[in-house]
Amino acid sequence: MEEVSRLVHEHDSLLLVDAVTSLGGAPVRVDEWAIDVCYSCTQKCLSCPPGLSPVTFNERAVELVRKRKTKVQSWYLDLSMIEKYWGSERVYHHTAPISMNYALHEALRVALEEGLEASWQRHRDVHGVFVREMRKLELEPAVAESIRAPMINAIRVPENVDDAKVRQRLYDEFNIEIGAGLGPLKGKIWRVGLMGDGARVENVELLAKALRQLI
Amino acid sequence: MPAAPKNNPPLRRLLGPGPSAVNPRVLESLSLPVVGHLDPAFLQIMDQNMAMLREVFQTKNRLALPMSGTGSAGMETCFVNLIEPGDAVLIGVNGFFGTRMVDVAQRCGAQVGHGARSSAIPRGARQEALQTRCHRACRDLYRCSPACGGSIPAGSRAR
Repeated sequence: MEEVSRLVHEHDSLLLVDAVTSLGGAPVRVDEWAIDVCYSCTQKCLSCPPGLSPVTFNERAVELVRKRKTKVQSWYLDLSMIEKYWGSERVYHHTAPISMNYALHEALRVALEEGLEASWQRHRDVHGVFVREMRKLELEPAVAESIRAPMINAIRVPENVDDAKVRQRLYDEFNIEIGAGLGPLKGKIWRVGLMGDGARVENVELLAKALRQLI
Repeated sequence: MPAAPKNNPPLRRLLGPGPSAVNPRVLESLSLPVVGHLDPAFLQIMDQNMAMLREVFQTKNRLALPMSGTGSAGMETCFVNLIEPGDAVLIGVNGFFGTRMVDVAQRCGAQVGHGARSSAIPRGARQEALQTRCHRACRDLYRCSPACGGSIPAGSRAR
C-alpha cells in the first residue's frame, strides 16, 4: 500500500481504499499509509449485521468536498450535510438507524477489547488452518499466496463436483453457508469467509468434515 | 392477505463472503430500547462510534462515521462527494466490486481509467486529463504492481 500511496500522491491525486472485507481482520492503517478516503462495512470482520458503512475522509478530501463547484449528486449521501449531524451542530439530516448504531457500538467494543493486532493474528492463524485442512481434501486455493486475503478464502471447485449441489447440501444437512463465485468465476470457485466472530478453528473443522462427505 | 407466519430463520453457520457470524453481544444490543435520534443518550453513542471507528481505521481524521446503508453505500458516498463531472479516476479492477466501482464513478460523470492486473493502460482514455495525469499515474502504478500485490488504484482496494 505504501508504494501505491506514494505514486498516487506524486501524481497529485487522492487515494481511495476499499476496506470492506479487511477492516478489523487485517491491518488498515489509514494515517500511516496516507490513505485519503476509505470505506468499509459492518457485516464482515466486525461481526455485525449488514446495515452501516464506516467511512473516513482526511482533511484533504474534506477540503475537496467543500470546494465543489456542483452539488453532490446524492442528497442522502451528501457529507456536507451529514457531517453537520455527526458534528457539534447536530443538524437533522435523515433519521439515523438507531439500533444499527447500537450494534456497531457493541461490535467496535468487542473488536477493541480483543485488540486489533490480536484479531489480525487470529484471522491469519485460522486462514493457515483452513488452507491445511482443504489441502487434505485436495481443495486448492484459487489465489496466489502473496496476494491472498486471510479472511476470504477462494478455493477451486474440483472438476467433477457440482458447485450448486454441494452448497445446497451444506445448507440442508449441515446448516453451513459458503459463497459461490461471482461473474466469470461462477461455478469455478467457492468463497469461504472466516471473518470476525466466524474466524475460528472450530468452523474450519466443521466445514472440512462436511465437505469430506459431500465431494 | 392474512399475516404471514412468524419469521423463524434457521441458525446458520455463516462461512460465506458475508454477512458473517454476528457476535452474540452484538445481537443482544439490537434489542435495546430505541431512543430518538437527537436524544442525548444517542448522541453519546454517535460520538463513541466515531471515536472507536477512528481507532479501528488507525486514523486521527475528524471525519469518521458510519453511513446509513451497506458497504456499497460507503463506496457511493466516496465517489458522489469527491467526483465532479469530467474528473479523472483510476480504478484497479480486480474482480466484481472493482467493476461496480467503475460503474459508480461513471455515473458521477468521471472519466474512468481502469485495468486488471495484466493490462497496462486504461480504456476509453479520451480526455486530456486521462492522457496526461491519469495515464502517467496508471503507467507508474502498473510498473510497481508486482511489489504491491498486483492490484492498483487511485481508487484502490484492500479487499
